[in-house]
Amino acid sequence: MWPTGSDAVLAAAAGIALAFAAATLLVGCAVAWERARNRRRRETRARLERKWRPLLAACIDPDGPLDLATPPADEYLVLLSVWADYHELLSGEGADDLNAAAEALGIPRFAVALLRSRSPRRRAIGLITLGHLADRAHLAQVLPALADPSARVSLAAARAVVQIDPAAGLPEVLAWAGRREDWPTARLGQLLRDVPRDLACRVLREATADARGEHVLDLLKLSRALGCTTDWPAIEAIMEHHPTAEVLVECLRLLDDPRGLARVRAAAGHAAWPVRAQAAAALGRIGEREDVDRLRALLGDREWWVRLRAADALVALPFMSPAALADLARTLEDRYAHDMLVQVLADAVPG
Amino acid sequence: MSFGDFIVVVQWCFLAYFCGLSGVYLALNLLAALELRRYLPGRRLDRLGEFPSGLEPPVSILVPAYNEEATIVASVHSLLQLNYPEFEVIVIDDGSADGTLAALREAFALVPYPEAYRVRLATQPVTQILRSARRRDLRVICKANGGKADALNAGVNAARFPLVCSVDADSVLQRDSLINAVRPFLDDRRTVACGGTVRLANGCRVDDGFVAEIGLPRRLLPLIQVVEYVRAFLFGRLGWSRVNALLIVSGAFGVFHKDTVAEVGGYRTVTVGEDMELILRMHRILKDAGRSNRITFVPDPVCWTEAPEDLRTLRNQRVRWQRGLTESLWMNRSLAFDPRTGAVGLLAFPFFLVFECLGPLFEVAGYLLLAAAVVTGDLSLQAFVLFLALVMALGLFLSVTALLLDEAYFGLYRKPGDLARLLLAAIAENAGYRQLITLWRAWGLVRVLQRRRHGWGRMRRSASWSRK
Repeated sequence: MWPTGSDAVLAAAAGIALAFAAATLLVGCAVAWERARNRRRRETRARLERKWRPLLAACIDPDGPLDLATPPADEYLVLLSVWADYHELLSGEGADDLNAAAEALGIPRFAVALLRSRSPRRRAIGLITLGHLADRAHLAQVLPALADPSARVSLAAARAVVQIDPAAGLPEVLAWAGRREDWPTARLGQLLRDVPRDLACRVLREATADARGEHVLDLLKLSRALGCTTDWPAIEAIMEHHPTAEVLVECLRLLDDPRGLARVRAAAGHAAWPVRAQAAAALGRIGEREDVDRLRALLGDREWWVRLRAADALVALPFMSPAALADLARTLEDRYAHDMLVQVLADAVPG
Repeated sequence: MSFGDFIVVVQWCFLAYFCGLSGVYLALNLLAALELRRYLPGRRLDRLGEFPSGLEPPVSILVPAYNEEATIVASVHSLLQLNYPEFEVIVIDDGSADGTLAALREAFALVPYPEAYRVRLATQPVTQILRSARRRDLRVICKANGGKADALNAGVNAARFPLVCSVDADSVLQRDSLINAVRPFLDDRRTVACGGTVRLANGCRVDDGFVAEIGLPRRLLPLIQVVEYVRAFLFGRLGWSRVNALLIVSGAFGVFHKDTVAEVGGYRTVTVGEDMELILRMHRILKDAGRSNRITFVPDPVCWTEAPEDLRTLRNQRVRWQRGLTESLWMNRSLAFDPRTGAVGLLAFPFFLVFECLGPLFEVAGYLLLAAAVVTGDLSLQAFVLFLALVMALGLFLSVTALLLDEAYFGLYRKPGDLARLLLAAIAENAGYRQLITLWRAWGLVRVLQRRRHGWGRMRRSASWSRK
């Protein structure tokens, strides 16, 4: 193929090698350029942060107010970032002061303009800003973004809606959550933390009652994550409408009402082990003396998790004294049941 | 066919091989760039207002340890300081012959714990389970020696939480490593495993178990490996992850859905590449079961590890890696060209087989044959040199492109002179280092055929980066 230097293929190979070498040189220059650009960006950002952080900090100082001049257009994005950072740390009067400063700086107008940007990142920044401003006047501009094709932008809109008007916004957001499969439940859990807990729990209860399919599970998980208490009739209704093992597990996790005891006892014999495990856990919260034998039987369950939850439940029952538990451990003939109870008793010793 | 004709065929094969290799690498380059462009700006936004939702699954961190007396206490201390809502640390002492257990016992006030140990995966016998009297979220499983995979299986058995994170005892994590690696599990319920970018700690300053100052190593050998790691993780793993065809999650750091690991049978103890073999088996068994799961990768640096600083240790490491790769591919060979597995069977597996597994043999054989042809006069010296230049130019191009991506999206190495050193390392990597590694990898392939028994891969470490 390449017997001599004059061969055409040799020339082609040399050409390819040179092309790669030239491309490498170009990319090498690009690395250097990118490095210089990044350094300039970092320096610019650091300079602007040095400028804006003290000014914004002064705004939340009771000795304020300050005269704030409208910033040049190219400083807005950094300003919004610094302003949002402060907002994440503040609530109450401090947040109000920051919002007053935002008005003086022309931030709302800039944030609304960002909603029309083609860049999802900029749209999201606009929505985050409007959320922190919490001004109902912006709600009409924010709501359409719930349908944004970008999950990130639509979730920023969801948070903004909830921040602006939690009572009206949260049901709307939860309804959207049922339609948006690209909204991770954990992100919804994060934005629910911006809402007063009682309100969030009430809206979640109402939404769960009307929800369908997988969405019910997500809403139940959110209720649990927020520590919502759900009374027995509401839980019973959910169990009736959604008789799946997964929903039953979540309902049992939420259950803290003795009126549900009969269903819990029935669930202790369910074919699916996650149901039996959560039934055992529920018995630990609402069980009576007669449930001790049921839990003792669950201690010998073939599934490790059921045994653990049964042992946890026995230790949690208020009428089970340490002596009674030690007696129970001694009398257990099943080795697996015994070992589990001994483990949980060791866990129960204060560390 | 004369020797001259044979050499012509070899040349064509070589050209085809390098064209294929560069084509795939360039495609992976592009995919990685697209993924970084999508991922990083969004990640920065997500962090505004990011706080625990209460739905983060708790994580069991598994730390297999064998004769880690020198580093284990510092490692566990740093793991216990990770920023994550709920986790436990399980150290699995795999029958260490040194003072690993004594060091742990003294540092964390370990006491016997009557655990109802659950055997989901068969392992060497567990002799004792201890728990810290000070930190209830720290347990130590003592077991008979069975290798790293066996130790990890014991850890899976003992894990209480739905996600397990395997961490090498000498790795240094970022405080937010778990948050970053668990996020894909929260964002997509189909996720069963997630890896992250492993960086080299050589040249960095580590305080209290965390990287306090990022720097480049002074010595050339680890410096070249910095470039090599950037290319391997940013291109290779991120690119394949983009098409859900990731074939490896590094043993140094990986988060897994525990029940899925147990369901596929845990780590296999008969290979030195237990990390890759597990991922391949997950792809295979989950596809057989008709499940559409995701094995994903986050480009954030989540783990820092020490690279070998001497040739002998480096050789042992690469021979071992090549054995692991080959064994993993062989054990899961039914994945090859299986259309049900999509990009895994049709793209990633054949690529790894041809270019990563058998490639070193092709390359070494090719170099030798071409050199022989020069000697016999069937190939001009000019053509031979040109061929080497072509290979080097291609390798250099890929390395420098990786540096570009790294600079554009991470820019971690910011000291004056760092860029020049990285570029020089990229040149050195392709002018000798790569060829040496290829030779060792070919040797690793030969070792597989010899079916030598394996144990824990020991590595001589200087830990020069570690202050405490």
